[in-house]
Amino acid sequence: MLSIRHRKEGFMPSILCFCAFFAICLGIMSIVINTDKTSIHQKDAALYYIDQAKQLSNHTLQAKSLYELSEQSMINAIIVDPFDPIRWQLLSEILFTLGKDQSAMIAQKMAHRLKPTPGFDLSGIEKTEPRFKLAMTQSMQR
Amino acid sequence: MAEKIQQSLLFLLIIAALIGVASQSIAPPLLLSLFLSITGFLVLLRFLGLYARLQNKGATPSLPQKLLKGLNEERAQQNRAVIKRISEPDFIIWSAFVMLSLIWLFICTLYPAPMGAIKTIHFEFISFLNDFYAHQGVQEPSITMKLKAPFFIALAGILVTFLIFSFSDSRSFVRFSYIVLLPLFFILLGFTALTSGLISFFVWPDAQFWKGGGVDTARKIFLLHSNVAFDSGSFFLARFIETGFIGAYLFYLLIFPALCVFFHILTVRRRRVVPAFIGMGVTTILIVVDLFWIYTPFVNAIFVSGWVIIACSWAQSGYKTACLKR
Repeated sequence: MLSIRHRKEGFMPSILCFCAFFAICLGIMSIVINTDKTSIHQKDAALYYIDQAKQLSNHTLQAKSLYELSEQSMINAIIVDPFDPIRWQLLSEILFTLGKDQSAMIAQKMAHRLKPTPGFDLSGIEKTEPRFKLAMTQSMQR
Repeated sequence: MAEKIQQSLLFLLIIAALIGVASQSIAPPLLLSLFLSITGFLVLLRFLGLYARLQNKGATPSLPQKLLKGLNEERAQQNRAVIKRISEPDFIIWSAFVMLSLIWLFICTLYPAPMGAIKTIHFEFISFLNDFYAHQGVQEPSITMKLKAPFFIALAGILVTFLIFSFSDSRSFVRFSYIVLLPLFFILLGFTALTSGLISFFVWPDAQFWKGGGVDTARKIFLLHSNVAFDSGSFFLARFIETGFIGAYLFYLLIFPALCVFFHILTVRRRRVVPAFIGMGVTTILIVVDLFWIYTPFVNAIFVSGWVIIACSWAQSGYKTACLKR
């Protein structure tokens, strides 16, 4: 269809055409294969940071920074798509590994960050994720 | 008509990318993959459009067909000019530099330099950082996951720049991009200046740290050591941490071909001076932002809008034909 090979203008159009075709294939393949892996990867990262933080319980500042990293990984994953139930399940798993104060703080931050999201109801999540509900209650009591 | 639709789609894509990078939602693989696919599809459409009008073979028996052939010939000439523009050395060299930067980033991520090798930034807990990275048995995100986003962004960047090049023969397209993106660029610049501001201490790259720590290292260091981020955490420093001394300066090669064209236009050819001036001005602002601005997601948006303006100016300035399409 494209008679690029016969033109005198050089190889750049052919390379770009190949790049475009490659981009379409790569993009579609990536959508099909990796959709569910994002949140799992974020969970792995968050758990890894928590694990590191627990090992460093004496160094408060460093542990705090690591907890912040774990929060950021998970909160980012949920804020991108708060309607995905898998992400909330993963958050619950992470809250389970944390202490009371830490999980209450994360739940509070989550509620604050998700407030402006249109059409999103946090009470629905509280019903399906009891661990998150507990953390929310604890954050209210603080 | 089809060309106008493609131009509108390209603008929508650029605006979506701007919103995506400013709100940090372009990084998730799903959105990035979608963006890449749409860009690739647009590029293929554009090629079909460009090459369809080049073929005017066959006999022309009647007068109306001859007249039509004359009209088509004019369009074909315009399309040939576009194809010739993307085959010129400046665009080829730029694409090669993008690939080179990407390869360097890959090397830095696959064989990262130890963070302790940075002499310029004296971390408070450098030993902690070394332990943090050297810890055995922990699962860091896989290399494929790490390198996916930069690879997709580079590929999409080359394709979007090609699309801008292919439409820049139309003066109305370039004018429209200035009308839309220049005010947006300055609004973003003002907003970022008001909310985050300038760095208070400039860090000169340390030549001994010639290879960086790889993708995502800067984000972790800025989070773990927020003093560095608020004191001197510019885009330049983030790049230095991730790609080392070489990568920090390699980035400037990406604007080198455009700058050469602008200089040539302003000093030798003196034709289409306005786009060259605009391109030159925006390039200067981007260098200042890169060196002295505290790094936030809005800085990414500034870079995207700035690059589109530079690409429009660069592409239009480089046309050797005397007159361009309206």
